[in-house]
Amino acid sequence: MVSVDLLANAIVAGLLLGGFYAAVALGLAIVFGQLDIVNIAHPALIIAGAYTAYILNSRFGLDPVLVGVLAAPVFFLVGAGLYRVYYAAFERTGQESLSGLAFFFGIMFIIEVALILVYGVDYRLVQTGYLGETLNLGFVGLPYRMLVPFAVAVTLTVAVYVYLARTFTGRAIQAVAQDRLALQLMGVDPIRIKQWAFGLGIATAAVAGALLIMIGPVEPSVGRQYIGRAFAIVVLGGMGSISGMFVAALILGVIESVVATFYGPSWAPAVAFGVLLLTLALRPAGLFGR
Amino acid sequence: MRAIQATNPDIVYVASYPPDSVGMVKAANEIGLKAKIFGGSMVGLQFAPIQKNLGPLLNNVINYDFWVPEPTLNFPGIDQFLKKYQEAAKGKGVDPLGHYLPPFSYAYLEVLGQAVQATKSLDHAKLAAYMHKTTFDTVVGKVKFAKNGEWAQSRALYVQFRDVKPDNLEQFAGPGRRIVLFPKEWKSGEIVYPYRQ
Repeated sequence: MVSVDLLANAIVAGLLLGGFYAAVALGLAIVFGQLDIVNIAHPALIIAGAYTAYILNSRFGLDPVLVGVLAAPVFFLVGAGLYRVYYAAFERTGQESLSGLAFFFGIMFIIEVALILVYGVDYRLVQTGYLGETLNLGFVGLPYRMLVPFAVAVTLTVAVYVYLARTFTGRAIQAVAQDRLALQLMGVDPIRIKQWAFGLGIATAAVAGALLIMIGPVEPSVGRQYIGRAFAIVVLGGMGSISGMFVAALILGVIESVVATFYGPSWAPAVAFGVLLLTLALRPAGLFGR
Repeated sequence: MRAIQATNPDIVYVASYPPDSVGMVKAANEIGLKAKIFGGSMVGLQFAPIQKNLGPLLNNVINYDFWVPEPTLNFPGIDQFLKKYQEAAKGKGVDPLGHYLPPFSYAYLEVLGQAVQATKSLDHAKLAAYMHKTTFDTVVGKVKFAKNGEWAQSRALYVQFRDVKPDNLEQFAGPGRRIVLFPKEWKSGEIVYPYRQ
């Protein structure tokens, strides 16, 4: 017989985990989901965000979330610059599919190797007062190291959702994903819009990295664990749908947590990706895809 | 961890690499794991930065280790070696205390060096034959190999974290924070039992 409190805690833990997954996949929902750019380096950029949080936390004692928010504009500029190179070298000449993918692979390796050369392969962590505490609501426990990343991830996702839905630039980003020519006819430069959108996607990596290092220790290549999961969430949610991505992240988190609790952690990714395949078989456009 | 707690275990033995080791120790404290013994073969809990980060969450955890600064393991040369290592490690981003693997890495070279000097040869067969029959004095104590090439006597320690204070790296530099429970030969204190009530 399934224990009610064990099930409730597994679901809550899964929701918290899913919230963190949403932060990881948010940038890809924009860059991959809306711009069709297979940025395989996104998790490596998240690790760069995690190291930024580690450096400023260990040197100045700054809260990782604050560091993530402060680093986001810098990451935005890096992303915008990265897109310019990508556009000039690959997209403009129609070589984005394979050469572009190799480009982002290269970026991923450069980030990892640079971090190894400077900081070594040891695991890095952050220190804050609240990370070891747990909020207990009845028999459900909410550890702050998961609760804070969840709250930040929800805030970030809602902010991006509102930005894309309500602002001119946000709508232009959605438009460039649907019909680039039509956007051009409206007098908007699609390349600048894509550059802005790419920068926005990379800016979220700064925050996601800060959340990652709050949850557990980080070393330069740990981002690879999230490549498959992050792309799967974007596809499951329906390419380009921010709300779909968020729901997909929560679903994946809950499935992983419940399966890990009742059947063992080894089964968790297998069942989660099985659900992804089943969903795509029934709804090829994803949960919220058009 | 909640699923483990639900089985009401006496002993929770964890075999894990650093990210999971940190996660398991944090989760055990978050849910208030009640077990008589909690620990095992968790890689990562030997690294000074992780010890500093986890702090009091480590108290009473029993885990494997290779060398700790307990009086029973104060072999000739170890203090000088660690002093030199810790000076060299500054600003390099590596483990600042170097208790876990560096002493044994140095001891490997001591074994090789002593074998080369004694045989006055670099011939592998001669070196191997000498290493098989000799007991070596190193910074990790006497080293003796069995016929199969493994240690004649297991050297893995089981240590228990004790009286660990928050956010303090220096406390791990001296004795009293990782008490040796096993092997008996180097035992430096009694077990605190159970882990949590």
